[in-house]
Amino acid sequence: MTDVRSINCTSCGAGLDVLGGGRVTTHICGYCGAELATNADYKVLRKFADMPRPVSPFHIGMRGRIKGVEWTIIGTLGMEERWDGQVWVWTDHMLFSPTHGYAWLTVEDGHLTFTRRLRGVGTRVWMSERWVETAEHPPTVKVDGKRYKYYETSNTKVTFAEGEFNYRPEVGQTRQHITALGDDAMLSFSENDGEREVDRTEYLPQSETFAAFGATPPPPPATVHPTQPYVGGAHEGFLARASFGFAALSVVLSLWFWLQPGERALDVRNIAVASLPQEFTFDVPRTGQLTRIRINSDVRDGWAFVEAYVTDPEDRPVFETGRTVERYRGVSEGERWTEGSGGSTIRFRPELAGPHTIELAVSETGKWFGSGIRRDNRAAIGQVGLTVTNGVASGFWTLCLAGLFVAFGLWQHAGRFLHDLRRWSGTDWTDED
Amino acid sequence: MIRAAFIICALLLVGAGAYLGHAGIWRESYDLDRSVRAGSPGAGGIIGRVK
Repeated sequence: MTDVRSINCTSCGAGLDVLGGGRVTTHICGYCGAELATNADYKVLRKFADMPRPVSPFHIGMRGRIKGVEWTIIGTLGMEERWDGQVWVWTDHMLFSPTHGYAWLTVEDGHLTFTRRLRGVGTRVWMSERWVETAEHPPTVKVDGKRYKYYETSNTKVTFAEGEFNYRPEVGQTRQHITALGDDAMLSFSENDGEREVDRTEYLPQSETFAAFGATPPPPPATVHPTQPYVGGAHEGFLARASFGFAALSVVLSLWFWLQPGERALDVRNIAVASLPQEFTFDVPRTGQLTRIRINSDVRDGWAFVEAYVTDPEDRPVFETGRTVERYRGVSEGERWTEGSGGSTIRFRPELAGPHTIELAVSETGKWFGSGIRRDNRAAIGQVGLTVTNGVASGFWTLCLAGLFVAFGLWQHAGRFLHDLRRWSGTDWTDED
Repeated sequence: MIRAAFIICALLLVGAGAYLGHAGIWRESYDLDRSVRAGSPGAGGIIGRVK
């Protein structure tokens, strides 16, 4: 428990609580703005006037636990940054713990963060303005095995000061901070009287911290703070993994369906086109699956329209359709090319088992010669082939399902991705430089 | 509960997909527009290019 003592302001006589420890050097009177030197009998060093009091749910004297340590708020700073016509404001509260020293509790846009100085790090790890300005890629440093990437350079100004501090806040003066952001914290690099200072800021559990200090929480922040950790759904990882697993299963099923050979019911080759129309009979032993009719041809440098008329065992028409078979050749910019396979496929689901009949006819043909191909008088098509296969499956639906599962799995990851985008939205790094 | 519901739904979907795929439902292709005609390259894609 911190001993609460008090003094009277040596400037205005107001009673001021003394809450800080032995490293406190400055006490700024909240009533008259006088800066008092604590190690010189509270002598008045200067006076700050017309300081706008920042809005904060915290005030000096409040106590609460952060990360298992009890802290007392001993000072308040109003902070401001202006750039390109925009103004950012936040409030820093200096914290003191008899066992853990000094730290900062910051309130910005309703976000609560906790900042502590990293002693001795500035001599080992540093991110300078020159490095930032000359780097082609965002500068990165590693501290305690964690990686921090350059975030922004800011010039902050103290607009209000009240209470005790372990240094002399310069109200009205700006100070440059270079910040680097990691997965769960932000580092701030700044120089004070030639001394390098590195501070580490992390996001606090919001409602718990407000409750711990007995402060009234503001409305939930609408923005994402750079240090704010992602809070995903409880089942997000499982749902993503399971989705990708089911996607893989669906792809395997698709491949299995497509690789099913089916049962060959008819295979007739070298049917002279001159002999068409002609009827062919094939058997469908059972219903419930697709039957595939494949028409092949020797068509070359042209096309032909092949008509198919299928009837069922009761001689009723099943369907009548036509297919273009085509194959072209040519030479373009020294390269030979071909287009078209000369074949086509028809699939249908028989409703009756038993012998079916297909009548093939070629109703129209045409020639087309690509550049570099010698013209001839040969007919576009001379022969066709016909195969019929029963028991054909389709991998189409399971492949669609695989796509659906992949999309769902990615959607599970989208929350984290979007959160990271919002965390980094405030960076001033641009690759164009 | 959510996990079990997801697994059950996913298995039902896979089962439905497998049924539709095995039976070839809505995968018939005989009702295409028979007015389609070729006559020059472009009706289909280039399937081979030989240097």
